[in-house]
Amino acid sequence: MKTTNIDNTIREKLQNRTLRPSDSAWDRLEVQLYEQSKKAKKSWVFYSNIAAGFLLLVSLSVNFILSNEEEIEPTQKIVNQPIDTINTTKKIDVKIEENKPKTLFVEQTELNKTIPKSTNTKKVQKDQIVEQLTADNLVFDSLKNRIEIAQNELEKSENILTHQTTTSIKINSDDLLFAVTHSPKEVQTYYAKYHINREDVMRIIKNELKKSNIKLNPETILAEVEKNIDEDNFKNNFMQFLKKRVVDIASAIASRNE
Amino acid sequence: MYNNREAQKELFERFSPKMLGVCRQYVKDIFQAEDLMLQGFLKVFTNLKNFEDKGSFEGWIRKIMVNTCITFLRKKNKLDFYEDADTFQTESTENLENTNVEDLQKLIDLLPDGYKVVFNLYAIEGFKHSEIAEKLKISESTSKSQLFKARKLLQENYHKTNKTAHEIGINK
Repeated sequence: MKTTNIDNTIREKLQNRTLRPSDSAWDRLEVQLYEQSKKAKKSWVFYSNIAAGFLLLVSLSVNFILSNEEEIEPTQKIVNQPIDTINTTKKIDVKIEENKPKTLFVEQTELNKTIPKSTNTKKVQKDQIVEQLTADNLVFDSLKNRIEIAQNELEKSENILTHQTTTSIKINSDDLLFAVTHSPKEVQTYYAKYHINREDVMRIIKNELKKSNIKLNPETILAEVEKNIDEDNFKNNFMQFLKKRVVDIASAIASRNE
Repeated sequence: MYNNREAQKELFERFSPKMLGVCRQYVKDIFQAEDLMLQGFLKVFTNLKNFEDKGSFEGWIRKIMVNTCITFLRKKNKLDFYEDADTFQTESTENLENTNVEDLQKLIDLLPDGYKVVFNLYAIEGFKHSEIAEKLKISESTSKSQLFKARKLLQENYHKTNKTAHEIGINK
């Protein structure tokens, strides 16, 4: 009880006690309030500047990253790789075997069985078929001869290269195809006939590739163009059609080499 | 009111005398007490938007003043809570009812700051020991022992001062 009395007495007397502050108290407080508001304003400006700087930095970095992505990302695939000549030759052989006319191996006896001798009209038909077969056989023989010549030339060049260096031989598949389908003389004759300069063709191909942002070896395109040189569109207007075809040919080569 | 100087001045004039009394309970020097009161009012005006109408406005201001004083004493390393053995020899039965406010304040001023703060918080502000322990970052038992020692020392000092006054009166 005694301690409670002490507590109560002191509380009653001191809890509501008032002391008069000095006359300058409010003025001092007012100065402190003014300085505090000034500091708050300064800090607001400081933080807003930091935020603005940060946003600017972020936007610049995003812009930089996006522009870099545009430069790095390739729009087309680059087709420029060494060709396995052995496998290519084998593939050509297989293709030839597949396209070889089966009728070439048809025996004369079998033909006699299928074509009765009794009627004159059937005799005529039989003669026509034999003629057709003979013609096909001749075409096949000439094609085969040309392939053999091309292969021989390739082997010769391979031998020369192997004698000169110890490194592996790299031959473009399209050049090989061109060598198979056209002789250099044929292409030269064609250019001479239509008054075309081979260097001009190459230049046009390079320009077209540059315009369309395709990364391809121009030699490959030229080989492909020369391969299709007998097409009617080329014959009609070579240079004009060449420009149109560069992109198509490049895409075709790209998909073929995938 | 945050930036309204007139309103702030009115509030200051209304509550400052009482709040100076509160600060004076904790700090012996009246000028120091006034400085602490101004710091307290600065906090009041800054945090006015955070005041919720849950308790009395005066109670809220008073709490800010008490906390400002405790922070000041802690910064000055004045808050030592002695755990030494009880050295009080006599248990006085005097009560302080007839003592005036100034003399009471003088008795409180004689207390070490640790005792004084615990006594003020418990006896005048009405905090519980658990609340005092949390506020001063001490244990509840320390709070209790500090209060016990504060009361004893108050009584002892009261007895001493009364005895001296009595002796002076006789000599006269």
